[in-house]
Amino acid sequence: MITLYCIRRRGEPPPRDLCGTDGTPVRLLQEGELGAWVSDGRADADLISIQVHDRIVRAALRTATPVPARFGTVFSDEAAVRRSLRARAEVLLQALDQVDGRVEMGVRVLWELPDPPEAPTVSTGGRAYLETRRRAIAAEEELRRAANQLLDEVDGALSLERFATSRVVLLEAGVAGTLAHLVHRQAFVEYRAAVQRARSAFPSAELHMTGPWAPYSFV
Amino acid sequence: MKPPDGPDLPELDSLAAELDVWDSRVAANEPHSLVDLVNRVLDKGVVLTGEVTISVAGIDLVYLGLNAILTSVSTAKQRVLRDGAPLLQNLPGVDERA
Repeated sequence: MITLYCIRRRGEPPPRDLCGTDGTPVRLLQEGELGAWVSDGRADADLISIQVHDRIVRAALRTATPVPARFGTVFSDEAAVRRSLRARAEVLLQALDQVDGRVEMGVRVLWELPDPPEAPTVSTGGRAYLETRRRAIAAEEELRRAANQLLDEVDGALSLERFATSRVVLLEAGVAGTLAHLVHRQAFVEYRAAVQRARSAFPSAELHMTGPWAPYSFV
Repeated sequence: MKPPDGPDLPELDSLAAELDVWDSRVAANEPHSLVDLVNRVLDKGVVLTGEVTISVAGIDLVYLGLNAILTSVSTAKQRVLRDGAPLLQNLPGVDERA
């Protein structure tokens, strides 16, 4: 079995001490214009393996921005990896061009949840149940709308229109969502300053900067 | 060789430094960093026609573990501050890092 972590243009091999999810060295497998970072063995579905995957992808990010592979992309042998790379070469090279020289930065937006809807009056019967359900659904829609609005405002305050944006809304309680931006390596300092400024504009929300990530959200 | 659009060394240095900082924060298993990491690694990234053999049930366990972490973030934080206990003990799919 061979596990695939990320793809770059052919060239530099991984650092020698970098190990994969199975503890075997990460190596370079070149096919045409592409260079894949792979290791022998396969990952387990646990948090450690997920962290190892990201660590390898970020090691690649240090020298040239890679296209990260989805976790758990496993092949039976090298020939299978090569076949897959050849079949998708055009798309992969396009993706590499798109992210070249850039990193993904993120902002996680925490908020004080708006007041919960008033508790429904206690009663029994089908109609009361349906009414309660209807209110719960409406409340969730309202929450989602409010979360989206806050994310819009934060995104606007970051003044990063020239960066590509991606978002996830309402990941879990207390979080309105996360924004991801594709930021030029040279514009990294500017990005951090923009987040700092946005913080003072949203005193009731908490903005956590995350990254630099490999461009997971943009491939 | 210098790129045409100005000095790059200070910025590149600080990006490398920022990568170091982020590495250490992720390695320290900060809950919110972990959630962002897991959501990226599991849900995003390019899909190749590989033979994806990672079990769905296992992935669900990872998410379950993360939810457990998040719902107890504030209490866990207090616990860490009080007696330095690690955050990620005894959760499914979650081992302590060496």
